[in-house]
Amino acid sequence: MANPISKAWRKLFYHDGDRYFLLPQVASAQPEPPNEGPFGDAGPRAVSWFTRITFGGRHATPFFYTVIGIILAVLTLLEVWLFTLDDLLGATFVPLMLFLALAKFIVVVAFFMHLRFDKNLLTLVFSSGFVIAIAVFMILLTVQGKVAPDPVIAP
Amino acid sequence: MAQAAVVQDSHDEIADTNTGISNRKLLMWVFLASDCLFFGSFIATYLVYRNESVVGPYPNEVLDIPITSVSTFVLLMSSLAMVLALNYLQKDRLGLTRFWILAVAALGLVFLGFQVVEFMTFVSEGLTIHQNLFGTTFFILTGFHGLHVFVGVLWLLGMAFAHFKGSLTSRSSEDLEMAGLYWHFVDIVWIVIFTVIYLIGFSDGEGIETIEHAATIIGG
Repeated sequence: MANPISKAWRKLFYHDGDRYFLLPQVASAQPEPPNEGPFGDAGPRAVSWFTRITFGGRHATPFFYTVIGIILAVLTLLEVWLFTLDDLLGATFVPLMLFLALAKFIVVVAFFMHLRFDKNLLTLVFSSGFVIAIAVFMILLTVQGKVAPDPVIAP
Repeated sequence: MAQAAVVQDSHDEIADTNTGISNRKLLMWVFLASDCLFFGSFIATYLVYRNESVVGPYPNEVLDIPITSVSTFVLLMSSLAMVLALNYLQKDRLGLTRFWILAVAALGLVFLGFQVVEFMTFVSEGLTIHQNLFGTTFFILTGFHGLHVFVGVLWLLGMAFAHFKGSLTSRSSEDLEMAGLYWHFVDIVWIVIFTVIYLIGFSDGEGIETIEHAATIIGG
């Protein structure tokens, strides 16, 4: 079965109904081999690798969790190091910090709290609360003029 | 097919419920989702009043990033210890389970120790909950987080006690899993607090109350 990259590639560049480029029907335009395309089977292999690595927690070993712990520690060190460079980073400092915090948040929730391995309903329940919290958060900041502050009018 | 298939890893269990998830676990996740709103409100309030204090001390005068980085690291490592405790309990390695549960409780107490020292330092420098908007929002947010950590420590000590009594085994690993979920949640809340209040808010200074006040600040 063709992978999503091959499908997208074929949809764009091969004759398949009335697509964009009406190339002649040749053997290479057929659904086989399954991983034709610019990157071969790199896409499905990467997905399979990611799934295997991150789903290791199904019967995870202490080593797996220790690696996750080390990743979290490294991310924290990176945050503190970037904090010392805030003048250099300028406007990118805050988005960068928030991105790193979000990365740590997701790693803890996915692996330590096992959402990666549990039923999707639990992810839905938790992310609902999280999304509502962010929405309330943004509404409050907007109402208080913190997202787009009122311009200071000179006397 | 709803059946209780108890296997080595509790994440493989299929509970005898409509969802296949144990009711306790579902309830815990609903509680954690609601706690997101609880802390989200406090963090939003902190940000609303950010840079609004008109008397000191201001964040850039009192926050100590190196010390807080260490306490953040301690809390992160306590999360690792927690997940190891659960992992060993599911594998029926009770000695290691006991060690890691006590390690989590100890790391939690160390974190609380850091927080108490920080609060005392702030008070000695003149920052109290009544002093200014920064003090009010900061102490309420971090204080409630500290309270959550304290409850977590008590819960874990209770788990350790149950373990010593022999009532905590791989068959009842969900008991520890609930405590673990709570503990990890406390950790992720601190991840946000550390970034938003300490790292991003560190340079916050005097607030601007009026245009005349702004002119005073600009004029030195």
